[in-house]
Amino acid sequence: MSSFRRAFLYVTRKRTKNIILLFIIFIVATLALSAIALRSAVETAQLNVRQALGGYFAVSPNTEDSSKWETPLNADGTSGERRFIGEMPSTALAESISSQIDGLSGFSLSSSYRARICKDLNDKEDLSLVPCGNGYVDARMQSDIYQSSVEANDYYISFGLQTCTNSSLDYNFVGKALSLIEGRHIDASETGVAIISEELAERNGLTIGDTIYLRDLDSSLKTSGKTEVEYAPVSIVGLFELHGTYENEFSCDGIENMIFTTQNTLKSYSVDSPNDSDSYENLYFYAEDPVELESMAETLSTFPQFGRDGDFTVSINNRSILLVEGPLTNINQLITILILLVLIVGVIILWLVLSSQIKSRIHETGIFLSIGIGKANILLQYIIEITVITLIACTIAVFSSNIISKTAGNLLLQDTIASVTEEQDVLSPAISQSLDDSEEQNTQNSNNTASTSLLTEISVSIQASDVLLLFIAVLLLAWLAVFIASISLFRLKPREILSKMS
Amino acid sequence: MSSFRRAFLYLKRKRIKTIILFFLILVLATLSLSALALKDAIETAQLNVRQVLGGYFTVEANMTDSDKWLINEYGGKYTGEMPTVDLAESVAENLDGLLGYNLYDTFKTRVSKEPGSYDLPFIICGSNQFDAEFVSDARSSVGSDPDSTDDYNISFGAHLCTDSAFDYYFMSGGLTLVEGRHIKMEETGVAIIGEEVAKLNGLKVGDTVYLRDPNLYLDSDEEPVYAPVTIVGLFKVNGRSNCEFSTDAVENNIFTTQNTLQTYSVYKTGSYTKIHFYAEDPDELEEMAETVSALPQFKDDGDFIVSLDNKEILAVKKPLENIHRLVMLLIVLILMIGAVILWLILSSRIKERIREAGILLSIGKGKGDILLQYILEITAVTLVACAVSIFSGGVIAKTAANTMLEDTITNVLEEQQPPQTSSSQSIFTYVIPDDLQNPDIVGNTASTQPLTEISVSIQASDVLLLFIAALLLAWLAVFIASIPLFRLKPREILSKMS
Amino acid sequence: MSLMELSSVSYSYDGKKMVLTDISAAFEERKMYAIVGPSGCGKTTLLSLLGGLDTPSSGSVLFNGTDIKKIGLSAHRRDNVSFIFQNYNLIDYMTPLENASLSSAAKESALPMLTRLGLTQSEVKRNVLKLSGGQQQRVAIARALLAGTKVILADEPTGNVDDAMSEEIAGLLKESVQETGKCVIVVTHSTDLAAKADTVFLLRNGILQKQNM
Repeated sequence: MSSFRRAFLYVTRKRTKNIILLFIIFIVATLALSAIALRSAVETAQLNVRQALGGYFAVSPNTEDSSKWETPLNADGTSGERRFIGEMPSTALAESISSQIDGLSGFSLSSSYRARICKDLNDKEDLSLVPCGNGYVDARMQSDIYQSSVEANDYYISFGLQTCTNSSLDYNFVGKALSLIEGRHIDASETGVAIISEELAERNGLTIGDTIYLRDLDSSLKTSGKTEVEYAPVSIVGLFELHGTYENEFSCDGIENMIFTTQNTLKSYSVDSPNDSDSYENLYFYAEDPVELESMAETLSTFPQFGRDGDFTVSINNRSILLVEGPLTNINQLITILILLVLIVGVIILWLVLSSQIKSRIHETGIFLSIGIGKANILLQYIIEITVITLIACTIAVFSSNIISKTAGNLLLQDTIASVTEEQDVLSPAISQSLDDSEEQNTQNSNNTASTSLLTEISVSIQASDVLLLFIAVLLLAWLAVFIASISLFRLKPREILSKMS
Repeated sequence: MSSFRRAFLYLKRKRIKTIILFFLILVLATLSLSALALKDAIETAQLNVRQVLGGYFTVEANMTDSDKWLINEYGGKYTGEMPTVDLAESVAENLDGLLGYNLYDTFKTRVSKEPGSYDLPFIICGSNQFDAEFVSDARSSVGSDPDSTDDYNISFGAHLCTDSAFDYYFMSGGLTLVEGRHIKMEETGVAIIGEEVAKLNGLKVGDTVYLRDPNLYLDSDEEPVYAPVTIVGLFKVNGRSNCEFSTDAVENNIFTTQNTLQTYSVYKTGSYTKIHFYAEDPDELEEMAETVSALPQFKDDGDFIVSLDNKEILAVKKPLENIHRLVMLLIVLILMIGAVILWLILSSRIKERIREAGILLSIGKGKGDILLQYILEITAVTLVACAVSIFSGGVIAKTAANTMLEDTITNVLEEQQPPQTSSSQSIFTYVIPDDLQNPDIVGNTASTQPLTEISVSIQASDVLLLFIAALLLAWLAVFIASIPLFRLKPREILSKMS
Repeated sequence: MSLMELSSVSYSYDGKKMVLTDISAAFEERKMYAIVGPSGCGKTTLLSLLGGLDTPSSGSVLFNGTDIKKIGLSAHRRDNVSFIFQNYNLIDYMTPLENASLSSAAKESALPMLTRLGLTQSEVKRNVLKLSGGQQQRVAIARALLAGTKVILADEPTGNVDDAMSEEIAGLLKESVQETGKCVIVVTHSTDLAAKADTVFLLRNGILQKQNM
């Protein structure tokens, strides 16, 4: 009778014993696979922590280089303010950098200006600022004294204006200082659109769809020598709210009084508009994994346009990432230790169970030896048995681990699903109906971009490579355990074996 | 022969089998205890993430309300109420889980080693190109005219606090106490100064300096009062000051108390600018801020407002919760599978002894006796194995803790290195815009509020749980495995095996 | 040259007490030998040595003139001898049919042999443990006979059966000697069985003595 036949008979006849053995191998294998899958998921969750904290590196014009500055003459012959004439970041630069650095998840360009706003061209009354300054000057500005003063510098009643290429990627929104609660985001291709704060809208009785008018400050007009004031109509397409608190001495500097618009819009009325509308003050880059920001910025700083006499400088904002590095590393290590423990214990248990299973067959082994079946033959039988059982157990383990992974996946809070629902709930029926098809599409897209662009989805899944590893490891372990246990049996004289049992 | 004796003989004679079983239970018990200990440590690490991002809520006067300002042609004065210690205490009463709080205010003060002697030089670190010039001009001004109001430029910043350990400079990691101790509001005549300033002036902890108002504060006929103050602590700045003029630099701050100020200054307000409250778990800040804003003093046109900046905590809430869930699932899996394996092994061991049971039954032993024997055996082995697992679990816990400690130290050291500034080859700077926690300090990457130490240790409660669970599991497994045994007639049992 | 030979074989369990002392004996084919003696005197040990289940402390066991160590104990057990154990030693997860065919590939001859030994068609396919002691004994005998070896070593083959079966077994063994020329060496307490042997040895105090019949 061949080893194969004996193995077959053993496995099929000694059902209970083998099922228990199979079950033990199966659950140890399941635990091992699940542990590994869960570990990967935890790593993704940690990545999410970093992504949620965000961070960016910024490319700015090299204003340290004095050769890039000039002092122009005013129209009236007086010296005007020294101004920067060096190169400014542009979409072209952004795209060129994007193509050369891996792992970027997006970029955003923006510039800051100031503008005065009114909602009625008949009275041209400036919008009322949201009070958020805590200095006495601001209080004064808001009080009646100011109203009658003619010496007021219109700076204090102006609004901060931020142009951007894609407001959803503007660092204020990405960094969650602000979030869009109504309407939609804007991008560089548009003209005559703006996003203002909800507080400002409420204070001035404005809603989405209303038109406001932007104009330059007196000081800007004076510098350029322009006497006629141009008012540009702008449609409010989005409202944002603030998270957190910021200290300002003057209300006009507060983010509550900031308006997001596009360079094209600026161009339609402002003397401060740059000649090339694809020219911005700052360029922000975001990384898929914020932990890479530092090395990316370092790489960038070696590029030709960067450097002491270069056109641009790089700066990095990743403090939160650096701060959480320690605790996150700790979590990593603790989990690694846990997983290692699990694997070691699994190995020990399997070894013990398999060894004792062989040792308990001492009598049977004795019989085979007494019949003259060679040791190699007997070993082969045991190896075949355990191989079959192990293969089956590991296969089932793949399925059970998958179920566990799915359960884990369902337990998780995924940002993507939650935020999309939030955004959609906020859109009131009236507004969503008034949006035409293209804009509605835009809404879906930009809202999705804003909320889903950041967090990598956690997928709890069993990797094919892990399965392969499991099979190989368990088989090797089983063979080794059976081999060594059998060896100890073979060292006994058959007679001793047989006499042990009779 | 009693069940006890039979159990004893079995354990003694079947040594190898018993040792293997003992070892199995030991391994499973160790794994369980270690898993629980690691889980707790992971939770602490997550708490650390929140603590590191920190956060506090602020109580301050409602200055945005223009009705509270008295405006005249020279400027304005805030007439509303300012935060006091009483307010802080009444707020704190309503909150659980506060780590601590601190009220602060800032003034200017002149410092010298003796009353009326030269003002101490301070650290020149302003970004304005004329900073050093202003300071030396001010010194000569004061030298020739003691009443000169230029003395403002050689004044130190007096930073009053009620509990310096909770002052935002220290809590945010901008400053670290390197020698001496912190101060509390009850004290008079104490101060913490910068270590650089101390070194510059040959001062150390225990020395006395004298504080006085700058001339700007005094009316034309008022004489300055000199108050002796003992240096009880030294701080260092993590990063560098971001200010135009040295007099405003945090390096030149002196931390002291209102009591001290009141011994010499014309300002005797008794109130402070702001109160910062810290939570043991930053997750609770939001709820705390809400509780506070419901208090009477904080209603809409009230005197005070609460503000909270916890956007980072909010941002990481979901990912951290996910980590928590994944870890819990893993732990549950481990415990469950450990229990199943133990059950299977115990069951099969009992089933193996069917012949023995048959023999005992045939000689007249009752089923209860036999069951008792098995229970006694497994109880003995389980108790010993669980007891030993406390030590093995402890060893694993210690090893885990040590692995982490090494790395934590390395991390902290790296973080404390000041970043490369533009003087190096690459123009690559660190920028911390809109950083409320450290508005005055740049380049600081030290951690924030003190982190709860991660301790990987076996809790007594976990041990108790282990013993109870293991014993119950063992008894149940043995009992249930014995049932079929006892349902057979002895004759059947014996014939099975002969 | 004898089929099997014990040449100055001594054996001791622990190096002190000699169970077998300097035993020499020859066993020929076509003969049945019985070894009798008091219990616990080493009869089973002697059989084990003949079958290569154990090795002597000194001396050698020869098969066809060659030391079985040279042949290889495993090979010797496979090709030259087969055992009938006192406690049957059957594989518990195999049927009588499978147990009988363990040592040879010929399943065809197993069934007839088992039938001849009184087992029914259904019995040969049942799990061995479900058979009675006597039936199991016969399966063990069938296995040994089917192995096709020249030598059969039987340890108390009738120890657990009744007189009728005893007779049956004795007849079978005798038959295999006469019809297939095997050398059968039986260790037994039974005087009846011993009486049927061609030669009887008495093992006492470690010494083997041929008995006069």
